[in-house]
Amino acid sequence: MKLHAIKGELAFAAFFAAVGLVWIVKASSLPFWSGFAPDSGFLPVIYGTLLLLLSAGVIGTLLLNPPDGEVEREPLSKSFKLLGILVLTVGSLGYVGFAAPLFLMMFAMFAYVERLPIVRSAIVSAVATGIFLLVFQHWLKIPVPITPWSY
Amino acid sequence: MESLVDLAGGFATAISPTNLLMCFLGVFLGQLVGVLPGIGPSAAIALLLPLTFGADPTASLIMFAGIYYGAQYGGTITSVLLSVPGESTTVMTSIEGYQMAKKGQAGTALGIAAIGSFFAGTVGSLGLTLLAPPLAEAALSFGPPEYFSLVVLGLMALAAVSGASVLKGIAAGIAGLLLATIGIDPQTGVSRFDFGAVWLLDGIEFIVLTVALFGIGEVLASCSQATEAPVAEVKNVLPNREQMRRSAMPIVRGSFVGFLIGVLPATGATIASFVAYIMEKKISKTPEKFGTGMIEGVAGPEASNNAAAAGAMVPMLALGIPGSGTTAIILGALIMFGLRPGPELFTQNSTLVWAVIASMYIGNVMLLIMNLPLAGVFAQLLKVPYKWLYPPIITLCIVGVFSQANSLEDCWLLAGFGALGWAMKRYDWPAAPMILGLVLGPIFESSLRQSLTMAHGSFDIFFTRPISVTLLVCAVLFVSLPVLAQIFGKRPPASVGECA
Repeated sequence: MKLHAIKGELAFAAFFAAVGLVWIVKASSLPFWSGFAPDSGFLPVIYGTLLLLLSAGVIGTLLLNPPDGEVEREPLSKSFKLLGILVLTVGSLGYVGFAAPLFLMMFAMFAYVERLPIVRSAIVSAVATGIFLLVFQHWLKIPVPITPWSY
Repeated sequence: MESLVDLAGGFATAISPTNLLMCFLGVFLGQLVGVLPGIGPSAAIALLLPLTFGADPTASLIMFAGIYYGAQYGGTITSVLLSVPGESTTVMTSIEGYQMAKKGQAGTALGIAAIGSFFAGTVGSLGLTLLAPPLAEAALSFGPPEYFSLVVLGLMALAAVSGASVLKGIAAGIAGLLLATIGIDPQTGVSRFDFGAVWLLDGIEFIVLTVALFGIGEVLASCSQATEAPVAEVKNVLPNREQMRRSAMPIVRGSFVGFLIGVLPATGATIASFVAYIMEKKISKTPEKFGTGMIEGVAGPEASNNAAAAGAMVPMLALGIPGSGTTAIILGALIMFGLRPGPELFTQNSTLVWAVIASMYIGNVMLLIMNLPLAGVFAQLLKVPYKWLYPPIITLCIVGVFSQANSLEDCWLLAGFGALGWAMKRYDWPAAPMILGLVLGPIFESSLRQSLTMAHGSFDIFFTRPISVTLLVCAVLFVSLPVLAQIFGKRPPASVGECA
């Protein structure tokens, strides 16, 4: 029961441990020492080893001293919805430019995730998109590709 | 005396129209993010980094500093009116401040907080003026081994107090160092950890990681927490003579204690406000009344957290060690602008440093003016629901990250690291050490190589030079003390929240 309560935390610590392991494996093919000083592989191996050990330490601490009772955390569904919308938006930027995806992203967050009034959501999304593109494109002179033809 | 002459020069730069405007913008935004839910000074600076890319470093840093100390003022409003601290630094203010608000004295609590913050901010800025230059001068004799030890100390100190667990803090710092190894090794030209992707050869940009962890991560973590609460009415902001008399000494004590605590690497304003509150309670003739709306419990901690914010700038400007999570991001911004943080900053970029210090005096006056008559106006901002704020924040993150290198790959990194930032927040892994690791990684590696070359490959060089060994001992103490405190059941108060 206690393990069930901390499985997310354990998995996250295991993720960091896995990153450490990847660094150790990848760095082992790099040279370690050159003359008097460390070469390209030295510090990455040290970092990877430390990250692996520290993450293992976090896992060990969690297993040895699991929190009493259920850990109160925020529900995941809303954050996952937002993350999904963000990934879709970033994925579409390269095909249709920035204007439409950014407008649709904000509109989806307002109207679908937060259930706010549709008309007001559309107006706020359009105004916010316009302001951002105006600031970056015209004031800061950054060539943000607004439409598919801007690339 | 020389410091005062330099400060006068700083004022000459700081009062130019552009810098004054940036100072106002900084303190205004700081006040705003302190009031608004789900966004703190770290996130605000992170979001503004892309907008300042290529801009004048002096004006940009004046604005960032303004956001940092301005947020200390803004966080008070939510603490007093809602009992929801806008920042971890104002947790203690909410205890007495909210009780005062329930008695109809919300205006007085905000007024005394503003006066105390102004006094403490000015004392802190004066301390910064007098203490930072000699510290930087002493540190000018640092060689590569001392720099190496300094980076170790900075990372360890921030990691040790940034979250509830020292292990997680250090692991996050190491993960940042690890990310710094991605791309071409500047010393040998070898490509490392690019996983076959050409766009990774340039490494992970500081802006991308910072905006992702503090912008996207923060939004994903706090989107479910947005609640609407009734806001108390703010009137009679100016305290009466009796209230001023009772608050005077707590403000003075809080200012000095806060500054001293702020100067210590990575202790930050959160611990300072805790210490000030406990000190006032101990000194008080009526400690049993604390918790019922004692004005001393607002004045002391508020003065303390503002003085600490100025104090945290001392190690950041003089040594290149951030005194808090937010100053770690400002440190990254210095590097982004092509400046080398550390003691040389005072000699090579003295105009910039002194302009930033001078702007802190000006910013505190602006904040006092803003807070006494306008406290009620800012309180109205509490009625803005977070659900109308976060979608534009995410949009700003995407456009901002894209704009720094016109790279869509950076937008993918933003989404990936944003998810990581969310998980870190969810499982209480501090993000600031990771940012610091990424920022200091190249300096760490180059100073290690230079030191070992000097010593013909012997690691003894770090333990035979007095300054280096002292810094390393301090680093060990920073890590071991919280662990010992945890073992003996006396965890320091920093665990309440990530130090701001």
